Amino acid sequence: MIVSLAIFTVVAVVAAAALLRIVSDNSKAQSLQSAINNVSYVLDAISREMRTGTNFQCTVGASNPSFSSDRKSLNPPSQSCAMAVPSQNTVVAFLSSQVDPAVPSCRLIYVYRFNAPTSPTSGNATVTKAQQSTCGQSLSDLDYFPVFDVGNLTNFTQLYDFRVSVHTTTAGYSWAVFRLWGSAGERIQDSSLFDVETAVSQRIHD
Amino acid sequence: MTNITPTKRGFTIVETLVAVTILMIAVVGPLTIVNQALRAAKDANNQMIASNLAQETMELVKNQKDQNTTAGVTWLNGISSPATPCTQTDPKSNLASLACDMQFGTSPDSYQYITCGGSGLNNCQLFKTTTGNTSTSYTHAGPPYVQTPFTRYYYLNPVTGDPTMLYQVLVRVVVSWSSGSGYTNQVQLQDFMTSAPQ
Repeated sequence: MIVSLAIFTVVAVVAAAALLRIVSDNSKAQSLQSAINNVSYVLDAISREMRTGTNFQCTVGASNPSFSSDRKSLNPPSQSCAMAVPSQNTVVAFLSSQVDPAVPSCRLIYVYRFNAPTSPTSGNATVTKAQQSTCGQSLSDLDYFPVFDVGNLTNFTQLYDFRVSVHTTTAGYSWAVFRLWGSAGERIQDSSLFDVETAVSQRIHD
Repeated sequence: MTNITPTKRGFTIVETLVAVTILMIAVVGPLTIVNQALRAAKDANNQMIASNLAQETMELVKNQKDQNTTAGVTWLNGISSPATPCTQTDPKSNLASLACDMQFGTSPDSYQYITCGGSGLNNCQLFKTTTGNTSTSYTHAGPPYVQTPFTRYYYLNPVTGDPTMLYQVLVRVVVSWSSGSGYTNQVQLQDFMTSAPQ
């Protein structure tokens, strides 16, 4: 009887550990999948707008680079910027494909801010956006709303980096390169690193 | 006088083994399923990276085509050439003997196409630059850069009715990676490209 009980106890303990592992792994898998969906969605949304944009102006700076929402500031030639160093922020402004219904010839300005984390070891990179709702509308800091802020998402451990560089060809067509580096997962010990790079190219307008 | 001994029976070995067997079946089944789910989630992570890498090449190919259209030069200039044709006539083949890829310079302020198929540049294997605690760029340049599980290339398939690719072509970008269990995954992105503005 003692031998039987010993065998059963060992197996029961192993089974209990396995069940705990099941719960943990399932949670990790769901968290990772959710984080991946978030990254894909944000990249897709930004890419879609930039693909149909024109007159790109990109600025890099230690703080939020200044940007005038005057439409003339987006006149050609487009302004390129190299990939910022991790402590720097980048602002990308462009004429979107959306127009002011009252002024159909006026395409509205979209501005994206790619903010570096406050610290390389804590803090998260964030992306905020401001967009004109009417032609000539002035954009201030208050107009920026978060597009991607993993601090509000439980399925990210940290987003170390979300950077962009914009380049313009001599013909005037721009392309942008995005780089994301982060850790997905609710807990550090369960997290999984991702290092994403992609590009988006402005399309020729007819 | 009868000696009455109370019956105190425990589990027999057979009973225990039966119980253990049932318990094992009950545990191993779900454990296997969850492990597969975890592996699928990790594959999804690689798939996301691969999809974005494929999109990167597709976008740069289209950017080059748009530049050519605007400049009035041959529409596949910088994408393929007679000397280094990035073409493949069999669209179902995974052979990359004539495959190419778009590659950034030291910083992504410029790009150019390279041939990497066959025994070409590291057989289209992607490496990552390591520049401290920042995201890294993917490159075909080999060591000292860190090898990734990904390979990436594109090739052009002539379209029926236009075998010499004068007006249209099918662009196919392939990113593949091997998972830990030894099998190879692949993301294929394909799009028709015409010489007219798109």
